[in-house]
Amino acid sequence: MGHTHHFTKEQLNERFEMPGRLRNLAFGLIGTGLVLLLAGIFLGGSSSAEKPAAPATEEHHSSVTHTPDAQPVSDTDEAHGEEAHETASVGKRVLANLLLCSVYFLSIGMGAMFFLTVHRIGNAGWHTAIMRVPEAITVGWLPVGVVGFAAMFFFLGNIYEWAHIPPGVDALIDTKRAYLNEPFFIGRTLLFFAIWIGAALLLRRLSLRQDEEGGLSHFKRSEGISAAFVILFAISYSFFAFDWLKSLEPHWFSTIFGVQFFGGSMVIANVTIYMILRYLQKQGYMQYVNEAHYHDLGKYTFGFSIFWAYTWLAQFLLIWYSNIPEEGIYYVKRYRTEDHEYLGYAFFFFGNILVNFLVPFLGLMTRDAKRKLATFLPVAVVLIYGHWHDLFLMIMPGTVGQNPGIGLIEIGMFAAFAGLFIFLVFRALGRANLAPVQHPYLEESLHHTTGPV
Amino acid sequence: MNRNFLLGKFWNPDHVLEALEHLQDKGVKVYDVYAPFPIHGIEPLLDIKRTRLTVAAFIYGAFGLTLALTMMSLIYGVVWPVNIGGKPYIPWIAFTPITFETTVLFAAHGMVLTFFIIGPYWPGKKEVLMDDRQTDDVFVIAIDKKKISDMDGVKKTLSEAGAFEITEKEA
Repeated sequence: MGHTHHFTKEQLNERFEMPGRLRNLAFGLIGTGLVLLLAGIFLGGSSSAEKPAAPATEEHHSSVTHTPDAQPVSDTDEAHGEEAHETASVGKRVLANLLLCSVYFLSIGMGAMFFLTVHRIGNAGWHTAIMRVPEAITVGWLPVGVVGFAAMFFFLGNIYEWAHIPPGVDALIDTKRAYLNEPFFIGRTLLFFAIWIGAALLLRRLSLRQDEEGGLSHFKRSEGISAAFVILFAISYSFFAFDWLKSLEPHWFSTIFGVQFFGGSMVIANVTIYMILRYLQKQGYMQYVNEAHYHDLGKYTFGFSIFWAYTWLAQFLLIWYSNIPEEGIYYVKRYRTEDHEYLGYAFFFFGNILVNFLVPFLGLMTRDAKRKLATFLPVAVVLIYGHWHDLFLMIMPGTVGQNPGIGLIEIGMFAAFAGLFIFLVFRALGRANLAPVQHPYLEESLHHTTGPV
Repeated sequence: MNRNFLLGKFWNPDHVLEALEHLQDKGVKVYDVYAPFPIHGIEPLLDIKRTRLTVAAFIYGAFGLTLALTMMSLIYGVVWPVNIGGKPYIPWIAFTPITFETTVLFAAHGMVLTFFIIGPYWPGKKEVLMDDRQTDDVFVIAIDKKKISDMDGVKKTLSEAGAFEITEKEA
């Protein structure tokens, strides 16, 4: 009770106009990020080796890997470890960070896509008042965000072991070549992007046309598209995670990997939607969004972070128990602290559980914690870092390897991506009404309540 | 201990809410409302406090967690250490699923038992029916007669709000 205010047509017809400060923030982040990134490349390149960094490295790489006489694996690895390591780290580090940030922001977009479609096929009404925010995330970011992956098509050999180790060298990789080869890899990635972006644009178009024409026909059409998307999403998103993240260490395998990646994506998507809504309300928009909407986003964040931890443990526990070398090495690299395998990730490994499970679990447990800004906001900030931390741990041991660090390259790349994300999403947000005015469930959503007390 | 109740019976839940609002204005303390289904928005009118069952659940869960970790550590680490595949005697990761299950078990069962006792709804408890039709289509407002100072005024309020019948009952 108590949410029985009525909202006038003007209040519902409002449009977002990007304030100058937000635009400046976005461009400032992009600019600062690029400067930091370049500084990081320059400093990293000059300090780690006498000779200029990246290009020399690539040559060195190809000369090692494309030699026709197949060397034993251990030799190739050693060559990496000894010489290539010092110089390779800058170029590899930039690519690894490009991959990390591309995946990070893509997962927000895909989480938002799942958010929209799963509510649509469940005939949910509560989210209708806030659905323009996930919509803006999907159509604002996805078509641009995939460019980062497209750029990496040309550098697959630099970070993916299977793409630069020639056939006949590594028996385990050879058995996977039918799946892990560049044409198929690029082909299915393009197919996934086409499906995801196609569905996002289609749903957005239906939603916008409904604003103008009203009626139920667009709403009804969106159900079939959403249902098809959810099924395709389940398969394609899992394979996307196998391809771009898991195949960094192609000897290792885990069938739950895609599910875990999905869990993390849903957490960050809900947190992002939450942050954007809070910002919009602070700017005076969307006054019809009430605590119950925040409460529900909080429940999702809470629930999916537990789900993430569940899959994290499910993966780790089975590998830890069975103790098979080619599976176990993945974790040995990440948490052992006492032997030569130590790469410097133990801090990140255990920190992962702290930021992505314990903080949201204890921080968002009570009802009030989910509804009040003062409690949700700190948790949201930790989770925004937490998803990055989680991906860092997935990507870096297989690419950068020893002695990871969070330096100028990491911060600069993330800042540049974040600035671009903010600009594109808020620009997309300004291109339509903040409320889907003709949506049949809008009234239900305006009166949304998660019960008294 | 029997108490005398004044009962206002209604056909319509909206009339119940209206009557409750007027009674609240007059400062009359309502004992309880009996209804065939939950009435949305009735809690503030009956001064129902927010449940502390969630706090109890947290305590039960924390107890279950502590119990599981203590028992497993004592049994496998101190009393009877068993070498299982060369794993540590107290492996936190292998303990996690059991700890999780025990936490859930204690929190859930603790909540149910607390609910039965505080409710009270334990099995076999003889339920008080203010009116047999309260399980079908009648809504009953029950007021402890001892707490009514102005009997006529209360009756008037109930009938004006739409009560079709006003009776008394000892329960």
